[in-house]
Amino acid sequence: MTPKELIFATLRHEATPRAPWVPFAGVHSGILTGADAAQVLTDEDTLVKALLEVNRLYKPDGQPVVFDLQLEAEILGCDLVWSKDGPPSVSSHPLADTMTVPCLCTLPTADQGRLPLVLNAMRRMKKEVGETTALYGLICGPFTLASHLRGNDLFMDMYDDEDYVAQLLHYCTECGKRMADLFIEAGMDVIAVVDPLVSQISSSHFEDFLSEPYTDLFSHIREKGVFSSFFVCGDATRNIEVMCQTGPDSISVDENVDIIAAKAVTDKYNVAIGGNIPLTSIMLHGTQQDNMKYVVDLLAKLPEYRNFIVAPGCDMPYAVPVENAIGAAQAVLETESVRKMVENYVSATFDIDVQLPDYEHLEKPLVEVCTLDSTSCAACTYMMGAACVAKEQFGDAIDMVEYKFTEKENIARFQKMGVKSLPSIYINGQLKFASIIPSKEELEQAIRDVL
Amino acid sequence: MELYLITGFLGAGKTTFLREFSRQFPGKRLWLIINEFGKAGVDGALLQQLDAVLSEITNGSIFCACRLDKFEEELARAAAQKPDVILVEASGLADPTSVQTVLGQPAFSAIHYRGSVCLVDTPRLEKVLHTARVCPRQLMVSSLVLLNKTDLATPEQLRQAESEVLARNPAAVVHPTRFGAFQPAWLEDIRPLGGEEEVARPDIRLQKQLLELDPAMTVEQLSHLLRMIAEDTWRIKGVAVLEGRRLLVDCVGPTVKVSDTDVQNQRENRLVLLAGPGMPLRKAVKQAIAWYPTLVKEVLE
Amino acid sequence: MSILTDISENLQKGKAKIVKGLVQEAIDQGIPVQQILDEGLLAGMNVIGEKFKNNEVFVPEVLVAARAMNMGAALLKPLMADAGVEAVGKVCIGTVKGDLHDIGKNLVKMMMEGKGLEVVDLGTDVAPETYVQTAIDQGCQIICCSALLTTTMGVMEEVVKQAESAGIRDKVKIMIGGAPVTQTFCEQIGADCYTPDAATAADAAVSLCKTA
Repeated sequence: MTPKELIFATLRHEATPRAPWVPFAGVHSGILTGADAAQVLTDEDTLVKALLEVNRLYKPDGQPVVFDLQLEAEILGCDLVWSKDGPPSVSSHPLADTMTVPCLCTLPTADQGRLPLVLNAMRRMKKEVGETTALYGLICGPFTLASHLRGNDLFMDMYDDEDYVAQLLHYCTECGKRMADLFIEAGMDVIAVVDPLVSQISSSHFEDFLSEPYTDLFSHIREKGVFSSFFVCGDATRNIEVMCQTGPDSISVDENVDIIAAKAVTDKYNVAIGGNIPLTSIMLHGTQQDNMKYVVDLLAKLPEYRNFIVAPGCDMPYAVPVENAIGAAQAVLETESVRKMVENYVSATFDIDVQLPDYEHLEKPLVEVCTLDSTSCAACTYMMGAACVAKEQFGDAIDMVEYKFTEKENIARFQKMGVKSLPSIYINGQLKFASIIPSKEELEQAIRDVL
Repeated sequence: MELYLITGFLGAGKTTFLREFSRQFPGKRLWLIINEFGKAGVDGALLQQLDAVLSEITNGSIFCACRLDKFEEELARAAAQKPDVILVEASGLADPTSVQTVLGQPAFSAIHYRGSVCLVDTPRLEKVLHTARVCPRQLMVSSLVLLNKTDLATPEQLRQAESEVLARNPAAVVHPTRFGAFQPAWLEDIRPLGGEEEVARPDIRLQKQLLELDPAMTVEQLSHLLRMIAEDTWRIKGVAVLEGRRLLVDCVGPTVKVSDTDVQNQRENRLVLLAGPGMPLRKAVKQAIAWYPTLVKEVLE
Repeated sequence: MSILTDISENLQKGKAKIVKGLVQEAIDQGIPVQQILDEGLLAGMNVIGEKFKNNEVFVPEVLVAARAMNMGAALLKPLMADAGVEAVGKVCIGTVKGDLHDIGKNLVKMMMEGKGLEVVDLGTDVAPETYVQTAIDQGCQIICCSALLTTTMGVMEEVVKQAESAGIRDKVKIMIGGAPVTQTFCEQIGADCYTPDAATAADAAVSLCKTA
């Protein structure tokens, strides 16, 4: 079963050998290639390069191509403020002082805004990794899009002019269909409708205003022959049920929702659920250990692998340490061995006495490659591969050794060495490369520096 | 085949101008492509007199700069009949650069684009220039700009309008006129200008509203209704058949105009209202409906 | 007094026009301004605040209730000075520099006003020095910062530092909030108070003002 088929099976609600993994690496992808957030979202080559690196290092079963809820809004006339470390924000709302329902003839077309670059990136990703990776096309949900266009008055309109809200949401839903069509044509396997603001309204408001548009949108996507997902952020607990009733193939939630409790609801509707590695406390500020532990603990709560996808709570912050995502990936892909690592880390490590080399008095340079497991973790494989190439180059002039985190002794060793991220390369006891794989030249230079 | 483009913002007098302009080609076979909104101004008698064929771009395209598919269709139909001259009246809200893009297609290589004339509502230019995004673009592509309605403009407004036009298109030849009158010598001033096309963002703040009038409404009530709403619109147009009279409703900005007409080719008792950014059209319409709940009704497309 | 209950109940339903009418009626009946404010408007807003805290009502409900409160309060305002009604305290609030999210900030502002606090709204994208200068110029007891992004929450630490270097750190309390913000973060940057939701923020602000 290819990673892509694993996603498809999950979205068909079948039992799977393991849970699939969909890292929402939007702007974060740039960190893998040294690009900032704005570059990733405005330059096709930068974007594709970063996404391919995500595919290589995080081994996703499914992967979003662009995570930018402002794409449609920009085309429709919202001004954006760009940032180097996050997606752009909307700074003006064209309908704030013009209470009108836009003509359907204004719906985005393939040549507008950043769509040409996004659609091209989709086609290129499809060609490069589309055989084995399920590609997610993300569209801005109607409610969030309506608030981009109308501003906060949208909430008041829900009381003052319900017809207007309904008509505006209809327009935004048509916009969603248009975007879905374009993305499907560009090869997307799953259309995710991302509507963070859904967590800010009651379920009766959801039913009044959103049930119909969403049902319409999801059946449109289904008719086009691809899968759908409904992403929400924030505490949407009360709305999970009404969201299910609109008929998506899956739902994705963040840490504000108790995902196991929510799964009881989604199971009732036979809708898959995805989530919910906490973005800030675990992914951004936690350690690699925290990420692995969160994921194995989460998976341990499932009676079987069915209707469940492991994913970050929402778009990963730009600065998420790469090793954290690698750790999370490893925990999904090699759950059992990571479970043991985490157990060992927590319990047994203090009993083992490890002797570290006398780094000050080495006979020749010592390259130590610290990995989760170079046979199963993609990033570790590449890191190890880079080291092996260097070893071939330098031959007996250097020593090289791999330490795998799968062994108890190495856990103790890493603690003693102060290793925080895996994979990483230490030269003579000094951290030289963490998580991001060095080029051949970079690694060789680092070794030459100590020869 | 020669093709002239007539552009200008809503209510600038394009249709009246078209009638005048089409007389400049005696003995030639004309083909007029106009939008639904302009149709009321071109009647069968005129067409017969001119040896002209009329085709219209329907289906709400008046509003949509983007109904280029319809335009292409009509243009292909026209080209197949090989008329001598094709006159295109663009929608008042259309970005004319997109029309030029269509003309650049190989399918239309037999058509010789002669250029664009832009009509300007002189006293209102200042206002629309700053609220409607298409307005400066219409000026940009036109080598001949006619400052129309000078009878309603002060000398100051005329001077102002001329400098606004030249500021946006220094290459333009500008002539004042009234009632769309055209002097044959001005034909020389029409030549193609290369307006580079930018992929324009759609302007979602353009507003359109359809109203259905009940035949029981009186003429008095109609004009009261229009006075309530006109200020919050750019344009109101339609044919009303009330109290046994056939009336052409033709409002530009706050100016309400209702006159007897024999225009037949319009759907009766339906008004089209157009407005732009910041104009409280929705509120005005709601108010009008509250005032005449049984006589006026909103039509949703 | 039933008219005050009416005010409260209509406020909770967001019926701005009715609230306005009832407040005028209450004024005409000679009910003391302070009492109309406390037992009518603020009582209603209190209920909304509690319900919001308990996930019984959400953003739209709070916004319309706050609008109704503001319409009623506008009638009372000119009478308050004469009646000797004083604000519970004064707060300046804004979303930090680089961040344009304003829904949460607006909710906190409304809840605070619903508790009788005077609130200076600095809007979004507010520089640290603007908070501090406003607090100095307007005599605010509390600076209230919102951040919705992991990338902008760091600005809050700047606000604390600026307040220190301006020499007002002992005179103002600094409150922080927003989706990624936590109690740990609050302690880490040396702010005074973190609250997880708007209604709790308003309660905390009132008690901070009392102890100030």
